[in-house]
Amino acid sequence: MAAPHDEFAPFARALVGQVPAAKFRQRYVAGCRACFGEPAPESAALALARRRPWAVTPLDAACGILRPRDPLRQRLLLLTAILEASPEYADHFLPRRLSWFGLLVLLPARVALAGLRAVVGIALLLTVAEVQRP
Amino acid sequence: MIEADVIVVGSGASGVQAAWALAEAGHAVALVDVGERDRHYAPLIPPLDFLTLRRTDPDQHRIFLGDDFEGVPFGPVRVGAQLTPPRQYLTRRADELAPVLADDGFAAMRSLALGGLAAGWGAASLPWLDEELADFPFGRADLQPHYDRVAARVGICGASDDLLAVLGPLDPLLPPAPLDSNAAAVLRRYGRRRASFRRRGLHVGRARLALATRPFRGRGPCPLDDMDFWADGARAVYRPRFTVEELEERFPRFRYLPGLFAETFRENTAEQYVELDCRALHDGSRACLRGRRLVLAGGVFGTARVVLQSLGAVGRPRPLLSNAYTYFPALDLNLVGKPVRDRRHSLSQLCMAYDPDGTRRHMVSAQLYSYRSLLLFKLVKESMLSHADSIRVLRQLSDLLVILGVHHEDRPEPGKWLALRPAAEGAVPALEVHHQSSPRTLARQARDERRMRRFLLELGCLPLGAVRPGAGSSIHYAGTFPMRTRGGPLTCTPDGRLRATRLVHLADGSGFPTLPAKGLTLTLMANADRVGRAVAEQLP
Repeated sequence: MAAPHDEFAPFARALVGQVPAAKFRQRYVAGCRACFGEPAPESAALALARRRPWAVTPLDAACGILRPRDPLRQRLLLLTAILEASPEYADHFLPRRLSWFGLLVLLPARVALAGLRAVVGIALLLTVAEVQRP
Repeated sequence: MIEADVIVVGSGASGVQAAWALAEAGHAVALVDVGERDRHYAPLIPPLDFLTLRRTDPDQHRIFLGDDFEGVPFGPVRVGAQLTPPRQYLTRRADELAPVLADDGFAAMRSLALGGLAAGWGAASLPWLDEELADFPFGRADLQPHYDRVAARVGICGASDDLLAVLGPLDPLLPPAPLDSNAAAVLRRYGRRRASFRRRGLHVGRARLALATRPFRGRGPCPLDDMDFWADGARAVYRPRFTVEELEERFPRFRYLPGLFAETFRENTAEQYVELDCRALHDGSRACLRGRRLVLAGGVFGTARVVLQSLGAVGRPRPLLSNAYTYFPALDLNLVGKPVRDRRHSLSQLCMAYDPDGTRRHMVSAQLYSYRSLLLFKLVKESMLSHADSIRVLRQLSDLLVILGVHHEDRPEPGKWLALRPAAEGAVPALEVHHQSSPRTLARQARDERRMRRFLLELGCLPLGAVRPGAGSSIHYAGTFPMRTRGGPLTCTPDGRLRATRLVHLADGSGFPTLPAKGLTLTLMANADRVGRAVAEQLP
């Protein structure tokens, strides 16, 4: 399971902004084996995300729109679940109070930014698809 | 050969109540059950509230995700999302021992666990009115003493509020559980325009739940730890296994027989006994039980399998009912910028009953929940944003997130049936299941859902969409051998006797001729008590 081992750090950094302790890497590798089997399904988006850590979030956003069942989405879901179910990262996931300003200004801004990331990701996905065409 | 006055099949909500009525009358009762249990996860769950556990327990991933990551859903939204890893034993071995074929995607959830599906039940306890029982061979007045007896055994909390008009009285009623912040805000909003809502047929009140809000028969009080989808804290939420334990303690002539899978029965009407053939699951051997009466309460699919196989009625279609279910995620805008109450239970907070035509015959019922303890990653999965963005957005919204689960009534229609398929020798026969509502029914449901969404908006909650997990997703099933005053061999008499037999009674939802929207578990228990008492009176 070399691939999950290698992708753990960039994926975790994309989700919570840091690389968690080694026990989380082991849990993630075990989770990939349990959930996806060996060899685990691959995809162009997953391979590119591994090679270009800066592209993880845009590719994830693009797959969310175009390929919701892409292996990249599934790996990120698994890692999200693993990080959420831990005391170290619980506060990244527990509710925060939302003001009207947050609801009407900050949240739409965040969603707009997420939309921009998706546009970048879609361009990346299309480029990868073009390169891979025989 | 094991002998008893009465053999009861199934330890779910119906089976234990029927067994109680029979044991209380002094009869020797044998309760036959597969009896799957969770011995793995329950010991791992510390007695902490959700937030403390989340912030302190290093092994929480074993509870929330499961040791094989079975709690992480990768496919589309599925039925039984509330079956968290500690609850997944409920459906263990069901596909192997009691297969169901549902080509149209009907979700036939079956349980072979101690306590049946009620071992993971949401505890909503809503009695039915005369109008909703119009197709039954008895009315609310006949059922009321049984409702009250069951309420005294399982402990039902609630308030005498606006729901009284659409639920009727229940005695005794435990004090209501404290409302969480979302529900309190919605109820306040309802109160401000109560007359207008009621004029349009909407009644809102505190959920009636089988929940011990004060010490009650060795249970409770509810710890308000928001862990109800994961554990049975303080045994506050009623589970049928509590009744099995009480039966074993109080009635020496009661025996619980786990590890047996009931297959067929045969009657000897001359000698007035019935024999039940079972498979002993530990070694595959055969076991036979003999009783003067047999009470089947293994759930609609389990009972259908035993009856159709025993009577050789392979291939004969029987009606099948299941409440259509839709849920509406919504944002409770009443709470924006306000602190929320952390101590809460995870069950339904408010109940809404909508009477579209003012007749009370076609009511729509809904339960309002707050979303928190099922964790954020399940919502993240449904989002189109990247995971990182979803986490940031959804954690801000999650205090405001409410789920309104809407149930519709169900009535027999030509596209709703099940039948036992012929099987090769030695193979396990499968039930074939179909459940297609007519266009007229679907149109009525769509109309009622539009109105429920509008009500939600008026109550200060912004609906974000509608999720329809598909037919069978209510996990409410009924109607295969309906009770009628007169009917054919595959119907039941008003006291639950299967007309094709002399000594076999059905005490589960199989006998319900229609399925009102309000959720059936309380009525299952009350009817099982009624059937149990009727059988007890017939025995010398």
